[in-house]
Amino acid sequence: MNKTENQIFDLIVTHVVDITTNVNFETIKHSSMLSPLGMDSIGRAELIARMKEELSLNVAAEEFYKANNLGELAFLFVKKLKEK
Amino acid sequence: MLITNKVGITGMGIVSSIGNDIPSFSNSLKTGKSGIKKATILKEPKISVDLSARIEDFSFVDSIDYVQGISEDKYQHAKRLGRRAPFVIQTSIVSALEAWFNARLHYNKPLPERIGVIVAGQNSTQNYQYDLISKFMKNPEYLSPRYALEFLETNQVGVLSELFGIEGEGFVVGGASATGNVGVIKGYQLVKSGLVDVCLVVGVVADLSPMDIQGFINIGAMGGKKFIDQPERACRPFDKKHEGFIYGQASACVILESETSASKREVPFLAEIKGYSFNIDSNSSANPNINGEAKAMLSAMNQAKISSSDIDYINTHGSSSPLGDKTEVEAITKIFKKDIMNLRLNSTKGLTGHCLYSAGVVETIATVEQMRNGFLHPNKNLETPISNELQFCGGKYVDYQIDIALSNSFGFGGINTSIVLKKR
Repeated sequence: MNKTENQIFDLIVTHVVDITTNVNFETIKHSSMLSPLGMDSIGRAELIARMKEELSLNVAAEEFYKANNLGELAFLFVKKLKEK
Repeated sequence: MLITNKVGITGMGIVSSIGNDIPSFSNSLKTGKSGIKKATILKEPKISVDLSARIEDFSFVDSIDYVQGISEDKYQHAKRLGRRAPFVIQTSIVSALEAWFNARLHYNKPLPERIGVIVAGQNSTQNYQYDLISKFMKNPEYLSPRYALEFLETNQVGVLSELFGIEGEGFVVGGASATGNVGVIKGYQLVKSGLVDVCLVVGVVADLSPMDIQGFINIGAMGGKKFIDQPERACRPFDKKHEGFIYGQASACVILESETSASKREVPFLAEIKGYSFNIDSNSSANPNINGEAKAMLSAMNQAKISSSDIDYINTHGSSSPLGDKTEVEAITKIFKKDIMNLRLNSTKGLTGHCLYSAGVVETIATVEQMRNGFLHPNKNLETPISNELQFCGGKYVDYQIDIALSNSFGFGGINTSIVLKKR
């Protein structure tokens, strides 16, 4: 895993913690899924919109829905950045 | 079959420019504290009048922490719902929490389907939208998905119903400057008709955008030019130098409840709502109407089965608008005739500014607080009254016992409302 992907994962974690409450940074792993962290479909949409803005990506939100966990989501963002 | 019952107020809460809870608001009424100042945060473009009575230094988390008697569960729930919500929703949560705990609904409440919620507020997301426009213009893709929830006024109904476990009727009402009174009236009707036992009525902060404020200036409704360097003197209800309303911010909440429910819960009425009236003038413009206003006060008294001689005090609409103040004086003079000798009046807007959508709820609370504490607050800046017949309060509070009061609110589009409150 390269550094960029780690940074993007950390960025995702920062936003997840801000969007939900009662979740600590330490408890979030690459294998973590959104629902158990208290993120509903609106939370997921908000996370993706925030990430797109931070990374200046203009990609349809649906492109990220296939990620099964946060690690896969970070990977998808890296992939989309490379395709820019 | 509909059940009829007495309806009263069992809880109150407020966030305003002159106090962020009922005791501090009440104290400010007594001391005649004005919330009107020059704006400290200026947006572009600069608007021509920047005087207002804004809620300053508001911290949502600190405010819910401060609510007396709040449990850890309720605190966390409120925090989760409101932490990232727009200012207007945060202030509604805080005023509603204070009222809820004041009415002791936290440990002893009716069934969820017997509780209703009414959000008195229209166009409450104007400034929220205004702030997002420049970002949206740059890239619509980055708009927060929560916008779709938050630009809807009914989001407040959802947030408050979830926080308090409300499953009865829930909706939003609008009535321009009379919106708060419309909310109280609709809540009264729900409880009186037996559709609910308890109804939460929240008057929301009018979070005006600079465009809204300039619109009020351009239509000639807003004052502040004559006293631009003396903000506290700018709002002058019923004074010859009045020149229009000064914008104010407040979120205010009252809990309306049937006497049967309140007795069962062993919670006293803070005041009883004896009657109301709500009529419209068949007029799309901004001008007030003597007959419509007089009819509102008369019908409210008729419904309460009282006469003009029974009224001790009127919390006037008194917005500091030259035509509005003159019309209200003429309407009161017309129906009270010789009874005006025993009638005292003031306008809360001289202290709070005109809180627009929440004004009716703010002034219901001001009336109840004066009733309960035996005083009349100053009629700020009344130096040369436009009428010598009416007995307006002066520059200092006076000890005074109010038994029955009227609280008036009138709005653009010919909306006339009046509520009768009785001491308990």
